[in-house]
Amino acid sequence: MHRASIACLLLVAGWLFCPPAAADPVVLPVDQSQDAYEPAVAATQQGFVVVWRSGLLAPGDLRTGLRFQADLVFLVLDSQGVPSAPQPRPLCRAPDLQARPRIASGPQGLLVVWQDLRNGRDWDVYAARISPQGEVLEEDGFLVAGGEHNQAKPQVVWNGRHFVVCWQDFRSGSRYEIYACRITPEGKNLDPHGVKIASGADYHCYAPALAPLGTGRCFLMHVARGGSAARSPLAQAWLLEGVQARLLYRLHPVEQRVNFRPLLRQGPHDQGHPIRLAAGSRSVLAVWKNCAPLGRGDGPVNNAALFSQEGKRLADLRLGHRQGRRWAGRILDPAAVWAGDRFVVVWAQFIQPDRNAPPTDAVFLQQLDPQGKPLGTYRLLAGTPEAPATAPAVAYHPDGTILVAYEQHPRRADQPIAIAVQRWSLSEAER
Amino acid sequence: MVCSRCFPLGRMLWFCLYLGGVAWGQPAPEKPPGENSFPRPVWHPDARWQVEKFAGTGARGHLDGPRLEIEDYCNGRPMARVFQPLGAGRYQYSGLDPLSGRVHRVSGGARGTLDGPLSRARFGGWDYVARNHLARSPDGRYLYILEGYNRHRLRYIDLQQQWVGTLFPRLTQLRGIAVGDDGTIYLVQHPQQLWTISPDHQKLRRGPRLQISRPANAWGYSLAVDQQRGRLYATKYRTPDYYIWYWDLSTGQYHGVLPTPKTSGKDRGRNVPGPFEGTNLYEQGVVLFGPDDPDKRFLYTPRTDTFQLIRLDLQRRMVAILASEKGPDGSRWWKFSDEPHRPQRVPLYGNMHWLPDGSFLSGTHSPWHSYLFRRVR
Repeated sequence: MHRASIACLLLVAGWLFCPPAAADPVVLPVDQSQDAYEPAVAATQQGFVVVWRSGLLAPGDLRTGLRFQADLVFLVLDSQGVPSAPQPRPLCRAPDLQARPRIASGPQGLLVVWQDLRNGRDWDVYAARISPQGEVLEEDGFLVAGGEHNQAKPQVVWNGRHFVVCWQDFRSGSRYEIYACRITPEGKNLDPHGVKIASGADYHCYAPALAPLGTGRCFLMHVARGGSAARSPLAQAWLLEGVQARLLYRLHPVEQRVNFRPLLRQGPHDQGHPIRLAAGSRSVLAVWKNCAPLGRGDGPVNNAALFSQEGKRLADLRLGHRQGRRWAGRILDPAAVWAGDRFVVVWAQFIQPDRNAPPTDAVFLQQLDPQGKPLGTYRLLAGTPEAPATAPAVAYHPDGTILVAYEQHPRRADQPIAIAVQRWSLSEAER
Repeated sequence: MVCSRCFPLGRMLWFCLYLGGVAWGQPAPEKPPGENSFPRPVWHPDARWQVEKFAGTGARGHLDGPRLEIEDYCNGRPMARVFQPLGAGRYQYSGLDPLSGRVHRVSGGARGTLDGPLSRARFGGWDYVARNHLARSPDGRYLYILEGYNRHRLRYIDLQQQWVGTLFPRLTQLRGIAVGDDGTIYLVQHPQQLWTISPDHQKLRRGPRLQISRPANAWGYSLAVDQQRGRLYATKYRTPDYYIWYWDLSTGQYHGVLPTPKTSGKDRGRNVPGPFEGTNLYEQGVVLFGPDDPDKRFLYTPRTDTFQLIRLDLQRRMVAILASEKGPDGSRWWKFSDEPHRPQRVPLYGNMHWLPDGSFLSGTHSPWHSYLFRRVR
């Protein structure tokens, strides 16, 4: 009896403290032996497409300047998560840097957007379509937003009618503003100069995130910073009908007549981003980085919130493992997706098995019900002190499978950083 | 410690590495400061500077690109030379390309201790508690890092080979670093041991035990070395007797330099220039020598939180602070003054980085810009 009780206790403890083992990861081939960074993933009818940045610095003495050797590449995976080709295919091999790819799936294929420095001066936003058969329709992409100053950090979704791209734009020369445009499935930009969505009188509006609501609508959220604390909101959310914007929500210390401090603990704000959004059937989940430098190291306490589609803040959430005082509940690089009847959130978080060892990155997953309540405990997907994992992205396939892609850092320095993927059916993930 | 003698000439001088992201701000200066063309040294009473935004937008985040449009997470620490995000985050080194004026991440994005190619190596990171210390080799090839989250080991970035390594991995708990003009690395190990490493990284030598009553906390020491006189100048957070002192490199003996009011028995008031005795400074800062000073006569000490740049004349035992005046064109010029005057807030926080022409870059604090003090006379 005594032994049986102990066994039961051990089983319960094991279930509570040892998340189920992750599915076997598949490490994707790298492009020309170059390190792989910043994966993005989207589901297609046949499976998934993973796109990432390949490479960074060109060889050479850094004292004489920086030269880059970075391209965008992609791989098509079948619904089982198996790559369809032995090597990734080039998406953009334009000069200089291409970075931060984002991808969205539409009925006639995919659209990838990224920030591009091929002009050598500042970032522009470029895009390229990938056909359902995995063909790149615009080699090296086409310009979405360019001109003077930065157009950067693009995001893209399919809103049911068009692809909607938003980005932060420094065209004013003094502050970042949020712009958006629509791109048809045929690759035509309906708003070639961009439509201004958000602009502050003396503060930046930046780090946008998008979620599709269907029927031509999107939910857009961004953070703000600058000017006086009293005048600048911390974050705003907008409803985009096409690219017509209506303010839904503002996290603002004055308007809400509350102290600044509690709002800083709430987030998102300039120390609590990037934000990622996932639109459910009736609500929108926002999740943001809260492992951020603020004063002596306190980021926002919350790192997720549930909003109604009308912009009402319904619930504040705190995701993340709670192991260790320093890193508990502090997440990085989150991503989220609506999986038919639940939200699936992935993020990177530091683990520190030994207090004398340096912390290192690991990737976690958590499922939430439509009300934001956790479904089971979080899962550790990947990442050990010897081989960290970070920068996750997630996509949901309507056949009930989830694919998580992330940077898999190597055990040895002679191995490149690669992109790894893990796939489950939702029924597996529930266990 | 950076001086024009120590750096190779030309554009490579402008390459800077820092942690996290950079910020140097305002419309791009007509051209970056180049070699020193001023007839008088930086410590001359007629030397003057003008301030301009050098990098950053005021928006905090992670965005590379043109230096005046980047986002960064610079909470205070050394800017231009190194950038130190506090709290947590993905720890990366970034570099400024002097030709394009662009700032970019140059290392990978996971934390750890892996040595190897720069874009793949992992760094332990730092935060408010576990702070790193950095120094450069005289030829600019190596950036040395004492990693707080790596048992305070000594790592280096070889800019020529784009390689990251760890020097003498069994040497841990290093709390201060300075590099001599000949490339010798001086290290203070907790609690009070001096070590030196030869410029070719081959020989490690144990030095004398350093005389000190209370070792530094995890924040460690800021060090500057005068090899001619055999002195290792140091400061640390909260020193009850001397803000700045030096250790004799051959004996390890402690010699006070800049006394606190408690030690000197005099107090002119916070940041008021004048003789060493009676000086009252904030209890945290760094020490470094500057350009045009082969005799190591002037020691600079930016102080944290009070936004001041202090210069010590070690020969005359006088303290000067950076003060503004109206320039001939009506704009605000800055100079060092040891005349008693009311101190003004200087847009410089906690650290500075000398450029070869005698200009310098500021450490950064709200509103998250880095400033260039451009030498104008």
